[in-house]
Parts: sequence; C-alpha cells; structure tokens
Amino acid sequence: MASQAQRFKYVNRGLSYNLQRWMYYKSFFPSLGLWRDDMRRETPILKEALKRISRQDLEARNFRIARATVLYNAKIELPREQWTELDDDKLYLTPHVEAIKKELKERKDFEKSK
Amino acid sequence: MALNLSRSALRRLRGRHYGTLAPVTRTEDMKVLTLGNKVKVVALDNINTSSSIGQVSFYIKAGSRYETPYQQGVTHYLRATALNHAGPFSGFKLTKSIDLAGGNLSVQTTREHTIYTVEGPVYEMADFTKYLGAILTKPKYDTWYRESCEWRVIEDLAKYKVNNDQVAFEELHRAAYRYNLGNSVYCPESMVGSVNSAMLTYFLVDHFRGEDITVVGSGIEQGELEKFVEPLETLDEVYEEIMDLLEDPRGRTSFDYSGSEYAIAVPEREEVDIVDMEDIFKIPHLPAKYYGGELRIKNTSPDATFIFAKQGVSYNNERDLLASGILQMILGTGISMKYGSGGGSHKLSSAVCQATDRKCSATGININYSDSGLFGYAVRGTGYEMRAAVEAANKVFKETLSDIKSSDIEAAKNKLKSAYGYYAENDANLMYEIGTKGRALDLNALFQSIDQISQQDVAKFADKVKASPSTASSAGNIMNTPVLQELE
Repeated sequence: MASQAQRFKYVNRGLSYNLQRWMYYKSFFPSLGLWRDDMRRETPILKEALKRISRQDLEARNFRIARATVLYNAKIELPREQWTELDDDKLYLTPHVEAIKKELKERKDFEKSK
Repeated sequence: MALNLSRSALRRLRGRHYGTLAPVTRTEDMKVLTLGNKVKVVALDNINTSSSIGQVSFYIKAGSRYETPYQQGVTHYLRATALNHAGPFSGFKLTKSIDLAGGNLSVQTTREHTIYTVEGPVYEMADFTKYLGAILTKPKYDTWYRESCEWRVIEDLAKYKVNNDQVAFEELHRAAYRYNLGNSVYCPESMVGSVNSAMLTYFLVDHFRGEDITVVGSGIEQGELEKFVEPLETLDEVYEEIMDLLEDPRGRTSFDYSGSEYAIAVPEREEVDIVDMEDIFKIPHLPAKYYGGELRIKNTSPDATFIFAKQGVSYNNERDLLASGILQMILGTGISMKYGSGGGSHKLSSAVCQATDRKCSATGININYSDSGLFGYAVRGTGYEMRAAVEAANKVFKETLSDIKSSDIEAAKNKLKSAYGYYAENDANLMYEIGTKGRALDLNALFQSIDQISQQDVAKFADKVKASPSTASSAGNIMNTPVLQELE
C-alpha cells in the first residue's frame, strides 16, 4: 500500500510518542481522513455522547465519515498531505463516553445494592 | 412583617419545611461569626439539647432583584437546577444519598435572597453540608444537565399563571419598581428555553460571593458549623473553568452565540450599535426606585384580584415600619374568624362584603424590603362584582389615611402584637429573620416599641403614603375592574 512504501520519520519527541505515531500510521483510517473517535462503534452510549458535543464537532464528524465512505467505496485514499496527523486528532467523544459510563454504573450499583 | 398575601408569595417555592422539633432561642445568645472566606455563620443552640433534627440554611443575597435585564429568569433556573450535578457528586447521588439518610434539601427564592435549606438527623449534617457546599461552589451547568430540569420551570409557570393572587402580586412589583425589585421570581415566558449556562455561571460569580452568604444552623454546634463552612471556596475565587469566559466580555452579555452552536455568522460587537453595556450591569446594585403605574393581565378564570399600592417603608426603618403595621391593622387583614363573613372589625373587609353581598373580600397589604416597600390594599372576588368592591375599598382606604382615630390605634396595636406573636411561633420564620436581616427577632423590645408609637407617627406616615404616586395591578376576570385612573 502507498502508506507503507514511505519511510517513517523519527520526530524528536520521545520514544513513546514515536511508537504511538508509528502505530497510528500503520492503521488504515488516517489515510481516509478519519479521527480515532470517528471509529467508535454505534452504541446507545455513543448516541447519548453525540447529543453532548458541540454542533461544530458533530458536523465535522459527519463530514469526515461521509468522505471516508465515499473514498472507501471508490477504493482510493487521500493524498499524503491530507491524512490526519496525530497532533490534529482530538479525542472529542472519549470524555463524554467515560462520564456516561460512570453515571450508568452509579445507577446500576445502586440498584444492585438495594 | 408580611401579610398572608405576600407570605404566600414567599412560600410558593419548593420547600416542604419540616422545621426543627426543638424551640429556638429567640434573642441575644446568638453570635455572628465572619469566617476567612467572608461567610457569616450563626449557630443557634437549642433549648432542648436532645433534639435529633438539625437544619442548616444558606441565605444568599442573590434574589431576583439582582438579575440584570438580559438575565431574567436566572433565579428560577437556579431553583430548578439545584439538585443537578454539583462538583464531584452527580444529581442521582445527591438525591439518593440525602433521601436515604432521611434528609430534605430545598431551595427558595425571594426577591432579595436565595435560600438553600437542608434538614436532617443531627449526625448526618456533616455530609449534608458537604453536598450543599458542592451545590453552591461547584455546580455544572452543561446543556444536557440543564435541559433535564426544564420541566420544573414549565410546571412552576403553569401553576403560577392560574393563580390570580400571585400574578397580581408579581405584576404589582413590576409596575411599581420597573427594574430591580420589579423582577419576578418566576421566569418570564420569553426566557423559558433560552437561559443558558453562561448566564447561570455569571450570576453565580457575581452574586454568590462570600460576603453575600449567611449560614444559619440549628441543632448543630457553632464549632462544627464553622468546620464545614470554612473550606468552602466561593465561586468568584476558584472557578477556573470560567476564567477565560470572564476575559471575553461577550460571554457575559450572551448576545453572541459562539460559532459552535449556530451556523450563521454573528456580527462583531463593534459593528452593531448597542446601548452602553456597562449601565445594564449596574442596575442590580442600584437602590430600588419607586415609579408607579398599572399592569393588567386577563385570563379565563372566573375570579379576579386587584391590588392597589403606594410607596411604603423598608424594614430597616423601625418606627415607620411599626406605624405602617398599625395602619395596616386599622385597614384590616381579612376575616379572622374561621367561617366568618362580613369582616367584623376589619374595615376594608366589612365595607367590601357589604357592597358586594359577601362575594368579594379585601385586605390591607404591607410589603417591606431592605430599601423600599409597598403599602395598600388587595381586593379579590368574582369578576362581575369587582367594580363595586374596588370602589368601596378605595373609599375606605382614602378615609382611613386622612382620618385616624386613637381608638382604632389601640385596637390595631393589639392586633399587630398578636400578628408578630404568631409569626415568631414558627422557627422557620425566626431563622429567616436572622439569615436575611442579620439580627434576631426580639419580641419584647418589639412590643415596647409598638406601645410607644403615637397617633402623630401614624398620621405622618399616612400623609407620606397619600403623597406618593399609585400603583395598581389586576389579574383574572378583569372586565369589570376599574382602571387605576378611575380611582384617583
């Protein structure tokens, strides 16, 4: 694949960061322009989290997913300049998902302890 | 000293008040301590030391008079969102833990204060005060927590609109004082969906400061109360999340809905011609100014309420306050015998009952705030009889203001003393007095001052009342209720 033909560039920011970056570009989704939180499965918890993020984030996420679908169906990738970089990839859904999980767990523990 | 009409206005907000079981000391044993975070703490020692229910109340000078004109309805939303996700505790945990421990948390709002009360068994007061502290200092007003509380606001408003007395009472204040004290305790209809978290947080930062908070506890010792309240860090000191909001002035006015919520471009503030924003922020801190006017609200109930008021006196001015109380008792405060009719010795009531064959009733009202007040009468009854009732009541009002007999004054003094006595029986009222006015209600001194009021004092106060502009408000089936100008 085109991504694997390039040489990996070691950035001067520590070993764990470079390891993370190497694994990131080994996965396929940055070449389609997706972020990590776009790859989450659709569960009820995710649906509740989607109600809590801002409108900008939601619309950007929808655009990215739609673009990635089109690219995947046509069996092409984005050019290398437009791949998502690790620094640009923000985890916008994870805090909300964790908070929702905590709330559900609290309720469940209360029901169990009754 | 509030009459039944305005007392119901106090009690309309949530709060099943179970109160304390043991009586509370009434006077001097109370020490007011100011802590490092400028919060004033008062602990009342119970006479009956084996009481098992304690109560801690936070009285905060953040009533609806402190809402700026763009921020109206904030206090109602504060009441509705009180039990929703505060600090490290989620709303679920708060309600369940307080409930299971046998406690009771309530929020009330008056025009001048917001009151958070938590009651419960004495050994649980530590935890309860911790929860209350979290609600006051670390609330979270994200959209999803707030929107799940909106049903409370809508329910309150639905109950309020049907109640003519409350509608007339709120509109009376709006007509009398347009800005500060005119703000209703209820959220206006236009603001029901649009109170957002920026407004709420800014209201808290501006008005829930240390010096605005007084904590009154009963059933709990002074040292313990201090221990729980001392570590509270009020919002204006420690709320890091909104520090960047504070640097952005547009966040405070909340005219600009930032790009993440709305896709349409909002013009920059410099491009739009707006009135000087700074004036709007000063309005809550100005003293209340009495304007006068009339407001009428029609709805489809068969009854109507009409309230007429002139400028009264504040509760800080003790001589005039007692003179106004005496005058109110001369006018009459409704019917004092259960199932009675006709009003007896109450002038207003008997005149109105005679004029309308007992279909309407009237009472004198005397409302006092910290820097202003209202004095007048209220008439309520079936819609068709209102004209006769209001004209009779107005006649009695004018006659009483111009001609005060000393026999009336003696009877009124006794009635006033007994009214204060009934008021002081309720422990909730005593704590309210300490929390809002800073000093305890001393019945003996009060009775002595009442005895010293002379006819000249009352006559002077009546002249002041006569000379002020009038305010009127009516609500309900007002088709036959006279307009204010017809009564002058």
